[in-house]
Amino acid sequence: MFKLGGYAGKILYVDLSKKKWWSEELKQSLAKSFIGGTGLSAYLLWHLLGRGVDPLSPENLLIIATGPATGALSPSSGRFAVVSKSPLTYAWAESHAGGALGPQIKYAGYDLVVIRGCAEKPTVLAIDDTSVEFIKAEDLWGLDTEATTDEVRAKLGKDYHVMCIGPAGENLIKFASIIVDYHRALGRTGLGAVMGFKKLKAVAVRGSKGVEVHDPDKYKEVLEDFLWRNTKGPWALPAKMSLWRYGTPNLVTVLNAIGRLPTKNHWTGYWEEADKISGEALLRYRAAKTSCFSCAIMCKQVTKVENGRYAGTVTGGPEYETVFAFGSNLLISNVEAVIYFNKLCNQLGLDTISTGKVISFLFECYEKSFISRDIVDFEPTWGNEEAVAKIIEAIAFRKGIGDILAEGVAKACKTIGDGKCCDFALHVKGLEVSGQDPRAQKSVGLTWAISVRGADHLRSLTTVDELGYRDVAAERFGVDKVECVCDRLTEECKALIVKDQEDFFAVVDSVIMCKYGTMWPPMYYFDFVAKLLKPLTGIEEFGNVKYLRLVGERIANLKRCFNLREGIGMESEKLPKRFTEEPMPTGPAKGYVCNLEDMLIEYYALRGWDYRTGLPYVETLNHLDLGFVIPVLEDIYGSLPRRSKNG
Amino acid sequence: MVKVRFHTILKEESGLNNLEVDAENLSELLSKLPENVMQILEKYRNYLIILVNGHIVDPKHNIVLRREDIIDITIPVGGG
Repeated sequence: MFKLGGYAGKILYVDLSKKKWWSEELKQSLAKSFIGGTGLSAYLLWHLLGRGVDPLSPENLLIIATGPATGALSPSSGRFAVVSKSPLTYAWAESHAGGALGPQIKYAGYDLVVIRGCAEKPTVLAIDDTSVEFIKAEDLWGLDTEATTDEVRAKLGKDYHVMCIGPAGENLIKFASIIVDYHRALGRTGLGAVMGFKKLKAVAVRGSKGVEVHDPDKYKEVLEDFLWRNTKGPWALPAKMSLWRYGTPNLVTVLNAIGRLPTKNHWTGYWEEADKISGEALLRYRAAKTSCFSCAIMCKQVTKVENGRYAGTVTGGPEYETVFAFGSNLLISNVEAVIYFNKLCNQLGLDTISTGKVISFLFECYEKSFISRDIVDFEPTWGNEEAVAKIIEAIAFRKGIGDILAEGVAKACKTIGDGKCCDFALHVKGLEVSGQDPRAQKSVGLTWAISVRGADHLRSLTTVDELGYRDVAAERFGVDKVECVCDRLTEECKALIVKDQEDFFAVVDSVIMCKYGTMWPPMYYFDFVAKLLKPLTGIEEFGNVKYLRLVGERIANLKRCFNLREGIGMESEKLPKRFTEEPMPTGPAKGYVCNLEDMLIEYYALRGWDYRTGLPYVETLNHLDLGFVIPVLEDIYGSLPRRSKNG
Repeated sequence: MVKVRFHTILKEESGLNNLEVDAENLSELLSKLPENVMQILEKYRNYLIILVNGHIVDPKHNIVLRREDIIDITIPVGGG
């Protein structure tokens, strides 16, 4: 009998090909070693997914994961993760979404749902406390995500929470998203295409079981501390006056002020018109505020356009990443258009970051005469809103040039311009770059390069150096390191802070907590998570910060070993030339490039990896109890490196 | 003249996007801001971050300003 608090104690397995489901007990030893969420998913993906499996094949897995905090009223714990192998990058795929679907999985009695196989016909998977149903969904195929969610809830009941795909997922767009309860997006790495291939139109979940807490009295103390931090603690007011008030777009003008607002396909980091797409500008369109389950930050804004060309548009967001992708990135200063593109992408089921980046790539191709006007039925020029709307639709339905762009910039650049455009096809490992610029914040360069899912802002983005939070830097890295940690324009100390953040986020994404509260504001760190997990789960070791750090390292290493097994290693840990060879042309970071190499060498050393091959030392893997990966990697790479006697 | 820009809640509460001030150093600039802006900055005094041309400065140091410098004043933000 499973007696740990926080966990449901079961993993649900679903085989879509055979229309079968069963559950297995979650082993306590696995919970202790990998916590849950993406940590546990990494373990399962390593063991259950064969090497070299085509992401768009029945053999690929789609794992829906919760952590011990999910549903247990822990701070910022409404989120859940979906993990798979990416059809866009062929690497580790992971995306998180908020709302309330995660807790419902736990309340239905499961920590994780592992889906394999491929349905013969479009299917909705309905999960509740007692059963799993495979519901025919041919009538839903072709519907957008809003209509799909409406229909699923009409059929099953309004108490179901729904994650579904739109036409983009059905058409196997490589950066198709999964939309959760209308407004939340599992955006990155093309997980919508994995669902589309599996003919899985939607997963609907409701649950009524509770979550047991190991030590309720101690746990209550933690929740009281959580409440204090959110209402009276040192970060309460800044969080309220930025994230709560404006949502994530609160960042726009400040990032522009430091020269880190990606503009015109990341040509520069400074835009004179940033004010027009700012959080303050978006406030005029706010129709409502919503919150994820058990969140005191409440960053979600619902916006509505009342008049003009986009009248009637209502959408959750747009978030900062969407504002950059469809705003400064495309030189569109009409914030109403940005709201509309957010809505359109969510309805069609497209990742807004990748979509914005493939469009800016196309615009730059046209500007530089790599494509001619006659291959598109619109003028693909900077700031052309009409063109953007048409391209979004063309991508989702694979029409014309949209069919090429639907493969992502890494592949598209080999077709458009015969490979001559690849220098400004901005991606890492095939994942389009997000809304930062490594020239204006050096740690971003290392973060993007080493992130297992590609150019990613959520696996190890550091905020301590963004605006130089010196007290946090001193507390975490020592007074002697404050200057170099907080200087965003030097490469020094960045390996240290990125590795630390990556380990912390490996834990955060396994617990599962939101990045807001853990990334920024930095209210919660290892010590708080330790304080939370021990009374919640009853696992003694979780109360030890040193142990949690070790688990974070273990998970970060295992994810990378997954990539190594798929043939994605050191050669993929690089940046587009735009960031390493083209000095920032304007703004406060003018003249800077990102020198990745030194940061990378230092990072490998901190990780216990060989800097010549990028492979982990055998001693590192054994120290992390990851010995099981050694024979598999040695089968591919030959003997793994060993530390020399001199260390 | 130097240009001063306000961000997030400072912009909203002051109703000002930016303003121009004739000042030779940072403390002179801060003393020449309109009364309502001073009151708002006082309200958030424990949180203010000041940037000169995109670079964070310590307001305790009396930074010398040059014509056409851009001063940004914000409360803490972060993330991506």
